[in-house]
Amino acid sequence: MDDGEKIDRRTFIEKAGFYSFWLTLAASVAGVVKFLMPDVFDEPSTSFRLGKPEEFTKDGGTRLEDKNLMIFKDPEGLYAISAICTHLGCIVGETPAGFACPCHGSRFDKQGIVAGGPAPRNLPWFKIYLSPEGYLMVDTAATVTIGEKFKI
Amino acid sequence: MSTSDKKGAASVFIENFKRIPFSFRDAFSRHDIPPESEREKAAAVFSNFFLHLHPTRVSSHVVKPTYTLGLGLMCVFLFLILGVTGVVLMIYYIPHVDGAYASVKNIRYAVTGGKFVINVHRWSAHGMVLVVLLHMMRVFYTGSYKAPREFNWMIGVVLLSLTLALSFTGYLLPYDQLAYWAMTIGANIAGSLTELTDAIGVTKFFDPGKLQKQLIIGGNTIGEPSLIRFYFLHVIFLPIVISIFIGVHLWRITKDGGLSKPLDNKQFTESVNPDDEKSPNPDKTYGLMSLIRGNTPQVGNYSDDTVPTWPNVLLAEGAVFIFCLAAMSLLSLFFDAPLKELANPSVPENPAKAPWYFLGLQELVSYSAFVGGILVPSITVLGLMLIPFLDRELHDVGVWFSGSKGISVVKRSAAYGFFSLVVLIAFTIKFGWLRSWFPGVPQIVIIAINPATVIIGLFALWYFKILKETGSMRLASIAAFTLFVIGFAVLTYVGTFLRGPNWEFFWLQSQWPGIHFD
Repeated sequence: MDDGEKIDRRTFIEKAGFYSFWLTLAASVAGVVKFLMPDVFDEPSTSFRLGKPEEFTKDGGTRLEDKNLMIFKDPEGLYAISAICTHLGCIVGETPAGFACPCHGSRFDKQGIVAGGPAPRNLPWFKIYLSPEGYLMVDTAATVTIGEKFKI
Repeated sequence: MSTSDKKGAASVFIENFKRIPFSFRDAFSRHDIPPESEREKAAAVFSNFFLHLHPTRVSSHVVKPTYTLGLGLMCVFLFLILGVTGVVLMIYYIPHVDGAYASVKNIRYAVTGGKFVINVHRWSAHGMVLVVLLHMMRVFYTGSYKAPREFNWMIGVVLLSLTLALSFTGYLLPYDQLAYWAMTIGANIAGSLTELTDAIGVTKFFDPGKLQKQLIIGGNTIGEPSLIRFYFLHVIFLPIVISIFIGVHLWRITKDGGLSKPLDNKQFTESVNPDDEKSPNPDKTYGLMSLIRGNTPQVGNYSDDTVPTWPNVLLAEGAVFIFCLAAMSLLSLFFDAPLKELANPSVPENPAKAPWYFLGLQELVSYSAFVGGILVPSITVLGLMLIPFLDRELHDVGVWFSGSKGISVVKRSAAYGFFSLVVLIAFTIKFGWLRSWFPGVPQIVIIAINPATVIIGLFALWYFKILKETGSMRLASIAAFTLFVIGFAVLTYVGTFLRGPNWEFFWLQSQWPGIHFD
């Protein structure tokens, strides 16, 4: 065709038909994939209240069970470590050495840094901030570097 | 009209009315029941919708119970049992996170016979996974995947995957602890491609792992969208797909020349000779229905080692069906299907274990999510599918282990697989792995070098060693397949019996510490 060669009508229609078929098929598959992916996820907000700063006087740790989050306080400040194993999403439990996953044996130290097992990443530390109303807030969509504590 | 005519009409009515059961039977079957002549026996098979997947005659070799062990039939019958009990369970099951668990308990405790039905459904699922695996071993070790049956072997591998998918989606539905954490882990395995994209640093631009995970569970965390998706997969999508594949699988058996059998019988050698004056039996019109792949139709032209499907095959099938039904009923009377506590998103069980057929995989996943959950399964499925295309040696079809040479390869491979795996796993348990020695080691190194990838390497090494030693692709395939079987068995044993809380090593479950997290 580069030489100005003509294709006959039958070949043209045949090719046009085939290309249309594949194009339609591809578009349909894309449509199905898009259909399977909701535009909006009906999920709770990633940030929530911890409480008033004056409630956090004692040093130590607590676990927010429904958020799968661990809050610790020491003299340097407050920090929140995710309890969701970075391997396959099980909830880590506490051990003398730090944290351990009950499903596949990932190990983390007290800072949440991987110490053994298959986990590919450290347990994330989430951002803690003060809301305009004066509440301590955690945002599980925002991480901070390990060791960064929130001074109360 | 005269009175006698009226009387005649009445007696005709009465006569026909009395004959209704017989006329109905004749209308239903189109031949005498039971069929008497050979011709009628053939007609009984090919004129019946449900029976016509059979050839009208089969080689007497394939009805020997010691050849097929009835395993393929068991797969079909267990699937049928699963279909029937599954539909029954749908009457009470509620696919909602707030109702699923209660509805399963309802079936167990408040529905007459409910516990029995749910037990049969669960044990048949376990049985089907086991029997599908055994059936695959039978087909492999008798060399039955060879041409012209390569395509059907591939369909078989697809059926194995679909069986596992159906089992997985099934035990998610009660929404108990097992279900919730299996969903979480399954979704994250789908998402573990991110482990790879993270390691090479492209996740920011291209994150297929996250896309897969969100597609499967309809969100970022397990919830109602996930349950309804798995329900849809379990009761609509996968059953339809697997039914189609089972249909093709069975149909291909007949079209590929029936079940495999050794070629050493005299079927072709003796009688295809044109000088043979032996006259074919003209009555055997069913001969056309038993066309076998070959050069010319062999109708009535071979020494006959076949037996009619009716009654030989049908009786065998009936026996296997009754066996399946009896085994499942007995199991279900004495053992209850497991049901754990209601799903609790904040505490998994410790240890959180999958059903037995996934525990080998769980052991692999505990080395690396991507390698154990995606790479090794993909290599396994691909390797299984490629077997008949790499091994083109057509001798020894229908012979267990291809004879004594094969038996020796099986034994040596089993020993090699067993000892290399035990040493590797013992080493891992005793000394840990890279991450325990160098905590900062990059993930890409873990993905490349972990016990799972070492296993693949060890197995590949052995495969090529046997290939070089024997020069036979069939024997090399036997080596590789045996390693797959041994690997599955050893890893399953380790995952089932040697892993305790926090996935740590224990010789016995009685040594488990009573760890409880609050």
